[in-house]
Amino acid sequence: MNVGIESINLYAGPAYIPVSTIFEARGLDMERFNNLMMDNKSMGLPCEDTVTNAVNAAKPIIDQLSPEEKDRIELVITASESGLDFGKSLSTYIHDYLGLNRNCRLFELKQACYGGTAALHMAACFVASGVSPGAKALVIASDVARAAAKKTYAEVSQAVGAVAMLISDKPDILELDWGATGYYGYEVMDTCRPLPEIETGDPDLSLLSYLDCLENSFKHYAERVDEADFRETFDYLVFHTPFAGMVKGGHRKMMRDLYRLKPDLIEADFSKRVSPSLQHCVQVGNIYSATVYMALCSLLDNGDINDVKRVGIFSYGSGCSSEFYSGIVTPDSQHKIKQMNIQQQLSRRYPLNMNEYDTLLDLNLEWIFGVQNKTVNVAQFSAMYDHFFAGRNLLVLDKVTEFHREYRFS
Amino acid sequence: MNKEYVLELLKGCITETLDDLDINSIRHDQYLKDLGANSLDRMDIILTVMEKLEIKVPLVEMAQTRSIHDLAEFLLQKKVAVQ
Repeated sequence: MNVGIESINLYAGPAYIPVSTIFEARGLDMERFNNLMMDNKSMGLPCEDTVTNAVNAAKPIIDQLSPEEKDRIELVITASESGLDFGKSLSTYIHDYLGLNRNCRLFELKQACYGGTAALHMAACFVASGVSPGAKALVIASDVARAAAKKTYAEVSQAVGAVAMLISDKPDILELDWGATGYYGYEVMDTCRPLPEIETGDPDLSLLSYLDCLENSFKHYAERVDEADFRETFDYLVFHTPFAGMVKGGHRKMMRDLYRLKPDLIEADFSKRVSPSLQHCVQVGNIYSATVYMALCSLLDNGDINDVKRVGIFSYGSGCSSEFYSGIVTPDSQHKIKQMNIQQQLSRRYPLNMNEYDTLLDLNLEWIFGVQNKTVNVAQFSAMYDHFFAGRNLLVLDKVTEFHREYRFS
Repeated sequence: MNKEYVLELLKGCITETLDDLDINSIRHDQYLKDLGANSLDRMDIILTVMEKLEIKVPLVEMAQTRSIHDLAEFLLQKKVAVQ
């Protein structure tokens, strides 16, 4: 059976700020700017949360389906490290605002930035199991940065966004190489969200853990897949991209370890096989559980997919769990994703200046986990709202009444 | 192989990555960060020195902040353990 991603879409926020603006305003070391390899960071508004981001990513996919196809969505899994309730999952709100069939499993899972991959593979196994032939699953990875610690190098990469994926036996976007996957996980305290208002950790440890996981999950993949070769098997590589510089480090380590390649050859391979996956990422920043699938969108939008191509995908989530797997994309995958106009959506975002950015950080702080009763005051950020949302039928948060979140379409 | 050998090897790897650094200016009580190495530079330095020593240590074990002196000591112990 062919199983994989039938449709995919990215929602990456209504506003952005150039990373260089944050560096200058915070007095950060500009030498480190180049190592990050980031241009812009996406910002959300107080009328947004992980539910609105998820629905705004998923709705264009759902709108393309016939009523019969839509009714075959029997599973909605949300993956998030920024949930809104300890008990109630984001998927319940999302299911409601997308108008999906009530004969459907709804739940949420988390494992930091690996969550989207965990959800994808659970959904693929459901489809492949044949327990409900022809059924589809909607997987949505959706995250928002917690209050950024100002004046840290983490601040510049912490962004907002969601990727929605329809998983089925009609894998127009990515057909999974069934069983071709390697795992690697162990307990480590690298980065975490131990309190509602913070994300914290040791970025150095996280980088090194990411590199260990890349090496060992690929090793496991190679044990399971005859003649798998990191350099030869994959036409393109898609990695979890907290910032593009980290992907560059990971790729460099693999090419050094496995092939003892010289820097110029590594650089050429990076440009050819990895760079297409980074184009969206450098414009958005880290969107946690959704990041690796933003990178997949970027590859499909920017890669030279003139034939059937094999893609190697590496997913890492702090804590930690990781996976290296592969799949097939085709020119039709590229044709299909272009219908989502992702680059046009990114270009449409409102360009923030530093004052507007700091004001939004403070306003967003009022909407962190646990809001009981509160109404969104659009007048506080009307310039950004009018620019991106007004009249576009996107989902926004209206108010919270006794913890129940109420949304409307703009 | 002794600690002096590993120290000199390590300092060579540091200046390979941080090419504008004078090898004679490196003090053994300094940390890689003090020498201006960012996290990717530190990864490169550690990978290079492990390649030259022909040892393989999980990178997370290298995450603990160590001075040049302590890093050389740690690497030597790992080398001795595999011999």
